Amino acid sequence: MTRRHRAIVLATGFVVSLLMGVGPGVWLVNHPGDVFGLPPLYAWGILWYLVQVAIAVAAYTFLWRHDDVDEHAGETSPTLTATDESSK
Amino acid sequence: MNAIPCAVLIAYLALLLFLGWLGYRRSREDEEDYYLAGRQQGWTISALTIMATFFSSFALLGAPGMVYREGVVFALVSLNVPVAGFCVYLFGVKIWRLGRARGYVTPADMICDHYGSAFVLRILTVIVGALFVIPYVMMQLKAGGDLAAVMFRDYTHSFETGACVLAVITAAYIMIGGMRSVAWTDAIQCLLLIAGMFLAGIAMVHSLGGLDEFAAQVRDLPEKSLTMPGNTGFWKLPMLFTICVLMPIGGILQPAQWMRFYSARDAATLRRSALVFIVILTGSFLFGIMLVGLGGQVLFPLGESVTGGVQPHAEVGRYDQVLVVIIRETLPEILGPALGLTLASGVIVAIMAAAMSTADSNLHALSALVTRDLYGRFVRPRASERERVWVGRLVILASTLGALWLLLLGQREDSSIAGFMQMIVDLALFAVAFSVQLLPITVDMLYIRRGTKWGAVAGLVVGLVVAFCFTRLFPTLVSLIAGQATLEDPSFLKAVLEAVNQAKTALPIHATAWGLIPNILIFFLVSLVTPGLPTRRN
Repeated sequence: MTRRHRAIVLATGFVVSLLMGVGPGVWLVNHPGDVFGLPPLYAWGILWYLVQVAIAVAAYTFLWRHDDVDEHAGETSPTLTATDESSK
Repeated sequence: MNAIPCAVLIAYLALLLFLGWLGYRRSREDEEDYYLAGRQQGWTISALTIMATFFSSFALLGAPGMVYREGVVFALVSLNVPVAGFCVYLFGVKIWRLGRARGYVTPADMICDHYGSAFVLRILTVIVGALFVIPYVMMQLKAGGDLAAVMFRDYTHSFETGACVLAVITAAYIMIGGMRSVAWTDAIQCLLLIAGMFLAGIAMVHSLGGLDEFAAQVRDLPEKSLTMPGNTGFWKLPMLFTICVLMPIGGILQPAQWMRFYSARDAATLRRSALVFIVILTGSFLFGIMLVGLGGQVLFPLGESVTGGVQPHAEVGRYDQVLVVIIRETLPEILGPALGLTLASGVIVAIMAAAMSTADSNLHALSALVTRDLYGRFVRPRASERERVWVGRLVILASTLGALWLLLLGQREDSSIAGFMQMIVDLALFAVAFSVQLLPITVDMLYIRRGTKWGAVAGLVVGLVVAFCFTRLFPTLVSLIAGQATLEDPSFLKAVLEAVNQAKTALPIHATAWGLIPNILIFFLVSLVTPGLPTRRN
């Protein structure tokens, strides 16, 4: 998977997490009761927080940390960068 | 009040002044050092100061106060924090890179350079900064007042004294040490406030008999407290969504954060800061401070107001004071005097830290905006750097006093803005309604590069005006103007207010979004029909 594909997948995941966590997804749990002992809305917030943390960690690990390397490679040898990307 | 919290508080304030002095010892008398700490901030200090600036009394007093009033629905607002974290990466790294390459100090430096606007955009950017900073500083000073009002309940002017003490100490250490002092104190304050948020949540759960008992008692709360749109009906889905998406963007585009991006040592610093921001800050909301508001509803059930709405329990007084009342009344009683007072001291210091860390950053940023973008450009262009630094110090003093005066004015019961300043969260939402209007310009500068100078100007002006019309201050302004005998025909403003109210009813989204929609449209349309920027800038 190329860097661009990873970025699209993670960005899509984050948008979905927002739509579910504080968007229309809230209607799914908008009732009193309990989920793991917590009010459903609260448990819902925690669930999507964990999803967003996973996306952030993945983004840092697979995208952000390599920014400097990619930029440096882009400045000095575009061909090498393209080859690297296609081999991943 | 017991001597332990007093002693801890005095020690903490003395530490801040010491750091201000230490920053002064290390500083040079030039602008880049005073405003950006020489662009040499490492990732630990950068991450902590970005987080501390983002977190304010909103986190320690405003959030539990809003959960206490509205119920569980406000806990979902915690999910705005990851949006801010991603913005630190998406905007921060690019802003840092351009700032370093071209020597920018304020947001206006970059915006005016990109669009080739020496005057109009600079003035507009300063106005946006001031519209954000003044209410944001007011809400921090209000936190100091609310804290003192509960801790020293027996004294007549405890609110005013608390707000004044917080204002004086904060202004003093920024004036002495500049960005370096602000960043160092922010770092300590950030650690304190994160600890305080978790501590308050843990103490709340413990005081209700542990997690199971806490959950059982929360489940018994009224249905409105457990569901959307909350007890007052304010948090409807469109409102919740627009606030969660746009409020953090406004928080990241505020002048103080923009300058923190400039002052980072390298891009890796900001990338790490973004990750820490997302993981730790959101967690401290969800697993810490939000629990306090829910527990508050259990300990101090909401009453019914004469209009049929809700009102805080008589012992709480104001919604924003719920955390302070809990730590003052409940902790020593439930946990015993020693442990209870120790925990109470920690949380009190955390509240002060939250308020001061944001107030100092904002005052410091406003000082840079006025000094560099107005005084240095238009009043005395030949002023030495040393002179401008001193003018910056005077601006800090003047804006602190101005914010304090407005706050104390709004606290009077007969004040027309008393309702507007009732809750910390409302003040925060008012402030970000303006800073978020910089979003189209920022995205265009950093990513698209198709906008024009007049597109940026027109979009920003329209966005600011429309956003203001949808804030809670606009109806107050209309009623004030309509009441003036000198004004011949206030019917136009009344018609606007009526249209605004109808629009709000039809689509309950926040003022940030109401301003941003026409802002983007106008920016796009005007950019299509006005001359583009020279190739060099694009």
